[in-house]
Amino acid sequence: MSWTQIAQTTELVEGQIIAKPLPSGKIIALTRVQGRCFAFDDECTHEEVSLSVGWINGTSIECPAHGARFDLCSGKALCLPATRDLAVYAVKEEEGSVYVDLGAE
Amino acid sequence: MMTTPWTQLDAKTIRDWSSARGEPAWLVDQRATAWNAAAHTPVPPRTAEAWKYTNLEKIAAWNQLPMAASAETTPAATTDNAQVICTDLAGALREHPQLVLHYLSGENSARDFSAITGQPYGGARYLRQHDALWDRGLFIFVPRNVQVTTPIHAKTVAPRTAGAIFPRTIIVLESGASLTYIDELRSHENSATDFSCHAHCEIFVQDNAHIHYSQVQHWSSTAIHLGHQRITLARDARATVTNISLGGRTVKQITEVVHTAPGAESHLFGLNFGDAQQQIDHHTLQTHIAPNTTSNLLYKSALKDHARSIYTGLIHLSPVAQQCGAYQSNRNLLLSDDCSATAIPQLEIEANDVKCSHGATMGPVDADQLYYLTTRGLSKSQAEQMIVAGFFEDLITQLPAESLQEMVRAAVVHKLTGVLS
Amino acid sequence: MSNQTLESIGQDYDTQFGFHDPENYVFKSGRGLTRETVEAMSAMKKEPAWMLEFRLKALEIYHQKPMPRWGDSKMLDSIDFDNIHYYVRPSEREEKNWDDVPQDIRNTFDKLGIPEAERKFLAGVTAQYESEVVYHSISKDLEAQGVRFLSMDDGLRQFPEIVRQYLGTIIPPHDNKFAALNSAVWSGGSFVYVPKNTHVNIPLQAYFRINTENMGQFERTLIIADEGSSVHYVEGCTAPTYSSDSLHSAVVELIALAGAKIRYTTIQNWSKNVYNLVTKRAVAYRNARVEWVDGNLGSKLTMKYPAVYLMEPGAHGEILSIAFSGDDQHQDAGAKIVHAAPNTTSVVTSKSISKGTGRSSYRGLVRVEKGATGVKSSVVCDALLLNPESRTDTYPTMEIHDSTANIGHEASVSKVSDEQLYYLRSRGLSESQAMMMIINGFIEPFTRELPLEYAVELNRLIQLEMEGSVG
Repeated sequence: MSWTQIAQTTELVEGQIIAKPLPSGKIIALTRVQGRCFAFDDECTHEEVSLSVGWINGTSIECPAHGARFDLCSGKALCLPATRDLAVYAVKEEEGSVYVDLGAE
Repeated sequence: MMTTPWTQLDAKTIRDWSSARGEPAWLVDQRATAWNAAAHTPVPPRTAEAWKYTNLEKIAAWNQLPMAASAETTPAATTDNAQVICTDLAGALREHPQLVLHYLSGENSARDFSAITGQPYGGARYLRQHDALWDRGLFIFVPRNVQVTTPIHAKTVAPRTAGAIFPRTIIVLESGASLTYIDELRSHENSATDFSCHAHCEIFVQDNAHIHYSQVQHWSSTAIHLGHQRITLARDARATVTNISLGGRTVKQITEVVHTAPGAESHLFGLNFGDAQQQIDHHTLQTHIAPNTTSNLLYKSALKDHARSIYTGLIHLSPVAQQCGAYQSNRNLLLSDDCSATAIPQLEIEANDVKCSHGATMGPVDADQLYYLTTRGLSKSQAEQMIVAGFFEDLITQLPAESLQEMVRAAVVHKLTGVLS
Repeated sequence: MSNQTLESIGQDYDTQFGFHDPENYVFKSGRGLTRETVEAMSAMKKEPAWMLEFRLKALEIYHQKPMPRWGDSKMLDSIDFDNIHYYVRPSEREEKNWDDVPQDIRNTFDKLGIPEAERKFLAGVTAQYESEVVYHSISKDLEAQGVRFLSMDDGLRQFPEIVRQYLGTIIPPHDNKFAALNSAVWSGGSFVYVPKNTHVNIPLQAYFRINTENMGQFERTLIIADEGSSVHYVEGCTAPTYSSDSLHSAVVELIALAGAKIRYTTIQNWSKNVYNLVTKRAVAYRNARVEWVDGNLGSKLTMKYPAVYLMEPGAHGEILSIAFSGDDQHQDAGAKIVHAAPNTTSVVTSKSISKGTGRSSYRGLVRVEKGATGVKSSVVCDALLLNPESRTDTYPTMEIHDSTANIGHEASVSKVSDEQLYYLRSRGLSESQAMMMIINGFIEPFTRELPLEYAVELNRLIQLEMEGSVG
């Protein structure tokens, strides 16, 4: 586990998506759905469009470019044209900050 | 100027710098105008096919380096032929101002590169930036009917301190002239890690003249390289253009040959071998705007480790380009689990009495070939070496100097085995 | 060779195909596309609430999405979307028997030769007329096998769970502006379900026709071939000639489950005022096989790139396409294959002919995802340019992220060879006969895959197109 602080709790508004760049250049998208936080790669696995301008439907995220959908919990690609799953990350909130587990980064 | 990232310069600083170099007023103005034009020209959009896979804007080493110190006038090149003008561009400006003016500005300079119908080329911003910032270069002028027998060999070495260089090469062959030119780009063990090169080369080949042009790029593995080459062929003019890309972390090389009159003929060769994290992106344009012209392209790439190769090539025949032949072949050898190759060969044909074709292949080393060689006593690594050497040999022999050929062969072996020979 | 007098397509079309019936429809929507149109349509069809929601959401997406900037932008920009009727219903109920179908509509199909074909070749026919399926017949054998071949409306009514499960998962409304449009106002089209291990031996067919001036045609087809089954679906269409433009924007989704095989054959011959913008995509699972056989002859502009996504090992995708562009036509066709699993294979063959000022384009994608090991793919595109003003383009893309893939692509462009023509003429053929023989040879890989009736019709149509091109 390697927890990286990425945002403030106050930045995560229910149903909205924010994008946070990491020093490495990768961008992580964050959202809050029914109180719970989710973190995932901001780039759609189909054509690398930013997902932070997409839509949340229940517990899935939909890419605005061609309609690819991914499950927020597992990252699984739910419909075409996505054929590759989305990377998702464990999230925790502690003392007003939001942390993501970036694993071996 | 020496510490500001070049992307953040302003027109006034550029004017001052140009004047300090002793450049004529028209050039000072031209640089400032070009810089302002660049500021108003957008970066390549995602929709521009030529730029889809290589995004220089995301690379810190492209955006944050200052201009390199102009210590020496590079590239250094000489010729023993007294009839030929061969000097650094700054010197040529002083000694042959009218001639240089003719080729450095206005309609003769490449305003933009071709693209598929309905799309802009996308790289105009970079071209305007180069118009403003070229800081070193070479001017070669071969007069009518002069055949230069000894190749002119220019060598550019990456500087020792971090910085960006902007070499500009202008080569003019008057009718009936011929020249062999080698542009060698190398890093030295003392060269700075943070380094970028934006090179711009224009070659004007007039009636019945012949150029044999080779660029051998062997920067270190951290360099960022953007290169534009434009070769314009007149009646019965001929060009052989070879691009060898071995170094650089991110390489984007654009080559266009424009066939403007009947009888023009070109042969384009490209070799790239990517390893580690290299991304090598070649974009070629075979543009035919006259009848009875021919072009023939062969680009090969080999990839290992996590390297990535992109090849985009357009053959365009305008409605008047009847009786033309245009051919393009791209072959990719994938030597590791994590490398990847993208090929986009394109045709836009508006004349009908023509013969055009293109082909692209990607794949690993042929299993049968490998098996055959290992049953003859070679180890797998030796067999692979032999196959890759064979794969590239027809391109390597296009280079006009034996020493260069050997250098490239050795570089290929080094990339495969880590062994310096 | 036929002995009948050959007339140019422009002259003959009006009498042969270019007739239209007086408009006496039960319902015709006003021009332009509004939320009210969609709600009225859904209510009239008595659709479940989730389908109305699907349509309304797609309508929003359609309004938001920009027109594609690639392709023939000039032609696309000239479509007047506000000047189209989006829904017309010719009669109140669907018929199962030719004799019950209203007379003028039967006349239309009689002229197009459908009853004859029905007697000889067909297992079942749904005849698309304007926006509703008028006639529907399915043979008793198929029903006994459990095969369902219904209008899409009936499919939705009888199998709502299946439709809801699959509709829009292969082509989501967001995919492109025209998929969104279709998702909002789709009407008609076919629903086909083939149960496990069932083989449908005779091609299933449907005909389409646009009649009302400025009629949009938005059929939606969903074909599901369950494990181990096989089916061949054929569509061929014509339309009358009008002075203002018609829009045809279909969506076809195919699902081939493990071991199944689907072949989908189209001969498109819309008259030259039609914009034909179609999204067709298939998924193939383990050891499944999908073949698109696509013939593009008519329309002013066709943009259509049949796609196969190979999702599990052993899947195979094949696309065989021909395009014929005459004066002022642009056939912008192609193929997309995505290899998302190991040991999958694909073959694409594209043949195009450009005549007069016609333009034929091929746009293709072959993509191999990392981890999709052992892939083999081959793409061959050949283009024939008959006249100096003819034009062709080829824009293939190969994105290969797995190093074990073996990928080959070849394209060539030329005119009809003088040597070949000379040889045939020296054997006693006239120039036009020689030309026809060469062209038939050029497209033979395609015509040999068609049901006989179609092969004959195709030859006849090309002959009409070629008339006037020689001498």
